[in-house]
Amino acid sequence: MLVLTRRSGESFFIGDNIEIKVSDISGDKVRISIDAPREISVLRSELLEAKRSNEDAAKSSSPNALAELKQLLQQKHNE
Amino acid sequence: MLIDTKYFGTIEYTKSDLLQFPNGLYGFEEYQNYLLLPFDEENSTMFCLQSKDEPGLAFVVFDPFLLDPSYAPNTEHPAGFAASTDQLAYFVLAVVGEDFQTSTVNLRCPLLINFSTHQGTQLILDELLYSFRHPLFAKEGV
Repeated sequence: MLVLTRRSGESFFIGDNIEIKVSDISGDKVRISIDAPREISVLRSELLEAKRSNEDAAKSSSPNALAELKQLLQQKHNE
Repeated sequence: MLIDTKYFGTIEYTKSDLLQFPNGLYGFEEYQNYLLLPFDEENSTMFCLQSKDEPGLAFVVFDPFLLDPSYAPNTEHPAGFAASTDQLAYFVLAVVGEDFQTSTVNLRCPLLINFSTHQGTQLILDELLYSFRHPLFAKEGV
C-alpha cells in the first residue's frame, strides 16, 4: 500500500484524470475533494459496507440455523 | 390482506401493520414497505422484517438491547425520529450463518422505527466501535 503525506491544499493524481485534493483539515476531520470522470463511482466506504452487509443479511437463512438460534436466544432471554 | 412471506408462508396482515422506509435500506432502496413479524409469539427476541412487495426479501432482525444492554447508539435523530418519542425502537440486521454460531449482527447500521408514525430508517452510526459484522455469540459459547 502506498502512503502519502499531504498538507491542506495539496493534491495527488490517480492515473491521468483523477485528482484527490485535501481541501481542509480541522481536528480529526479531513475534507477531501475528488475530481474524476463522471463514470468513476465514488462511495464512502461505510455506505459500501452497509450495502454489502445488508445483501448478506438478505440471503436465505437455513431453517435449521434459524430454529437453533431462536431456541438459544429464548433460553438466554429466560435466564 | 394476504401476503406471501419468505419464512412464514402466506399470512394475513392489515394495512396498519405496515412500516414504511421512505429511503429503503442500504442496497435495497427500491423496497420501502415492510412488515415486522415475530419469529416466536411468546417472548419475541427475534423478528423478521419482511418486504411487502417482494416475498423473497426478508431480514432477520434483533432488538440490540437484548443482545447487549450496554448498546448506546449515539446519533443525531433524523427528522420524524425524535429521541423523546416513546414509540421508537432499534433493530439490528443479522447475517445467519449455515452454522448459526457464526451469525453476526450489524450494530453499526441499526434500523430506527417509529411505531407511532409507522416509519423506519436505517442509520450508519459514526461510532467506529460498533461493527458491521459483530459476532452474535462469543467464541466461548453463549
